[in-house]
Amino acid sequence: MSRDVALHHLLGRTVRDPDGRKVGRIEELRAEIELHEQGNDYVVTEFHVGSFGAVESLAGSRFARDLLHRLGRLVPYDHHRIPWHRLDLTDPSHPKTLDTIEQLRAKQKRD
Amino acid sequence: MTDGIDLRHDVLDALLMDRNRENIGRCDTLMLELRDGKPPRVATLLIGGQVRDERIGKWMTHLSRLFHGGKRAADEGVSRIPFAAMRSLGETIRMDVVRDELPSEHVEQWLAKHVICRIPGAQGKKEQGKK
Repeated sequence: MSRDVALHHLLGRTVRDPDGRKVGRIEELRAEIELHEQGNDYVVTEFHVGSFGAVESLAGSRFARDLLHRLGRLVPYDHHRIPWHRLDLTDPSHPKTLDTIEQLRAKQKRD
Repeated sequence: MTDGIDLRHDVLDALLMDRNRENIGRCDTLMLELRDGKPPRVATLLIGGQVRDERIGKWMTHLSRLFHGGKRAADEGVSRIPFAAMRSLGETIRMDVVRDELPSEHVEQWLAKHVICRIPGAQGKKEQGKK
């Protein structure tokens, strides 16, 4: 079974881990070409999720997030690349990652 | 798999052109097909209509509903272009479609016919362009 979701409904959504803790907001979707017998399609391979720590509540709007990005090192910023199969989009308005924040941070350090 | 694209950065709000290199507007959103056990597929690219209103803000959605007397269908004025129709991606995105066949162009055509053409000099420019 397949369902459709609009990209602008996913961007900015808060992603939570299995314990219900906030991981960040969906900022970008990476797509790559998938080749198959009928032709080729672009498929989403990665979700980029970011958060601004203590000032996260200010980063609700796209404008505020872009501004905080530009402030760079002044604002603590956490960024995770979550593969498509590690993000549960059963309810697209409440995306959940299958990894805990600790696991994501450990992976971030390894990368 | 090959080099990828960032959907928000590279596609959303990008300027779109048809196969004759005519401007067909900007990408207002993309529809993703969520499939069980498979990566989400980028299915269609949407231009205009209710989608554009939603992205501008709730006030625009309400204003649009008021303007249409609450009778506007969700798909009215929306151009749905299969993402597979994308031919090139750069500063502009070239799609393998014809501008005049797109529903989102109906508003543009109405404006051109009823408003723009009445502006002094507009008709002359149009005729010069045809020559």
